[in-house]
Amino acid sequence: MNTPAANGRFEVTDLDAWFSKKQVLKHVELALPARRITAIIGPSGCGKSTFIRCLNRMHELVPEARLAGRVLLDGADIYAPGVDPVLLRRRVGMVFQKPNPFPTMSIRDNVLAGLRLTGAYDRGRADSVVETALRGAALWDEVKDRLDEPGVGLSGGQQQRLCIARTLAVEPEVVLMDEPCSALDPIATARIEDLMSELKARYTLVIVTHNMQQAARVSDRTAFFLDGELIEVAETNSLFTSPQDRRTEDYITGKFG
Amino acid sequence: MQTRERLFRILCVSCLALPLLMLAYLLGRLVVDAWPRLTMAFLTGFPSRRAEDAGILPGIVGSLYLILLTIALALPVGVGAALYLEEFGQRRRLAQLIEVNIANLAGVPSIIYGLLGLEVFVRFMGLGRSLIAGAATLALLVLPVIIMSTREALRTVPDSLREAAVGLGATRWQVVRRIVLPQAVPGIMTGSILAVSRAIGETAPLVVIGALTFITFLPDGPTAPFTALPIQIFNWVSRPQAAFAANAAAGILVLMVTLLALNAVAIYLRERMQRSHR
Repeated sequence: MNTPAANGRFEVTDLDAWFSKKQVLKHVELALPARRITAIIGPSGCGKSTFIRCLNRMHELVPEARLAGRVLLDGADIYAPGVDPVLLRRRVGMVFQKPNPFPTMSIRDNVLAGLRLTGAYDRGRADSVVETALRGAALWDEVKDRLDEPGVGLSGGQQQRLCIARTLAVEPEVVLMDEPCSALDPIATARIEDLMSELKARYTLVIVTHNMQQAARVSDRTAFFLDGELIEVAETNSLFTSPQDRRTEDYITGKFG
Repeated sequence: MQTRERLFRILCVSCLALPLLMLAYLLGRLVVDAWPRLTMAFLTGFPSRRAEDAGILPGIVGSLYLILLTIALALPVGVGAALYLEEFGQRRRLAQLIEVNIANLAGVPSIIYGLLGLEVFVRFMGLGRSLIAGAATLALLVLPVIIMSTREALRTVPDSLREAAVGLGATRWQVVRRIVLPQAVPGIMTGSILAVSRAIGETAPLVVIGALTFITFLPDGPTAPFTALPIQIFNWVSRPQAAFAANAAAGILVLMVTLLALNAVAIYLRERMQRSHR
């Protein structure tokens, strides 16, 4: 195998997004480097989630949602005509706020769901795919003896790691996480945070969080959003220790939000 | 306060007791009237001018064929229409308009469907007074109910699952086929069972499209003329001789048992499907 160039680099230029007439993102300019963790922070309703949903073209699934601007993934515009959003989403995986394993499926089938859904399923490789993905999501040791039990029987934290495994099984380049720990207890959260640090060796990670400590703990870069605008983006250390913008400082010191 | 509470309870219990008592009385009378006529000869016999020789086999067979054909026609179309409206329909206005119309159609009297069936299936499409014309008419009758209950079932599938599947790179069709439908099947089946059960008891539309009341043979294909249990019962009830009234009672009992048996099978299938998903 040739050493892969670091794939999964996003460049977002002048991105605007609307829900019907309400503008939720305004002229966002942001680069997301490959194989690093970028945290998106900001108060509720600041457009964090909308922003990452523009990266895998899920924003456009909402009726009356629109957007304008350019989003480049490794130099190619993902909104160019002829780009199939379905294929894009296999390169840009997503983990959601609430763990959402498929309730009709076993743990094993949940991991394989992406491959089955998209017809890329190969029976001979299935076992190794399941093990690799579950190991990648740090869940293998806990579930290896009960792969045929339903996925919804796991604890909340395990379910979320199962969802991460399900995302990894499709072999994406980028993993978007939309407040992945907000429904979990502190111990489960800590496990997922450890996992994120492991994952960045292979994937570009973008994490939306309203938990500033989490952003400070896990991310390399942090972007602060407010009212649909990108206020500031910097290396996480410098953003939290010497913010350049007054509003960033007010937010991270807890004056609002 | 205490007495009020108790009064309310008594009121509720009597509301429940009244219909139950009436039902019990009706069933009791029915069984008493029907019992002497419920013989093997009755179940396997053909209609006759003499009440004591008359049997109900063509009615039973006709009704069973009708059920199967009606399901085969109405279920795919109804589920397909509901899927389009819930999962694929992008134009909100149009979907709303269709929704209102479907709700209205569900309220149209069944005899109107009979007239429609007579004009479209029997005459225009030249199907004649056949099983398939009857089944098509009944299918039209249950279609709105199936569409509505299927939409209801589809709505109970949480959006988070659709999002998860889309996020994995599934197309709309793959999401529907692999995630939404398996979850919604029990609900779809419940609605369809209720709808089809009602259709099987329908007499008016079948009378209008001209189901026969006196046939001494079994239908040999979808284009054969036919009779059905409610038609046979309707015919016997309208005879002046008292002996035919006993036949009608026995026929009603057969119809009821057939319906209950079919529902039981459908519910069993539904439960089994539900369990296999857990």
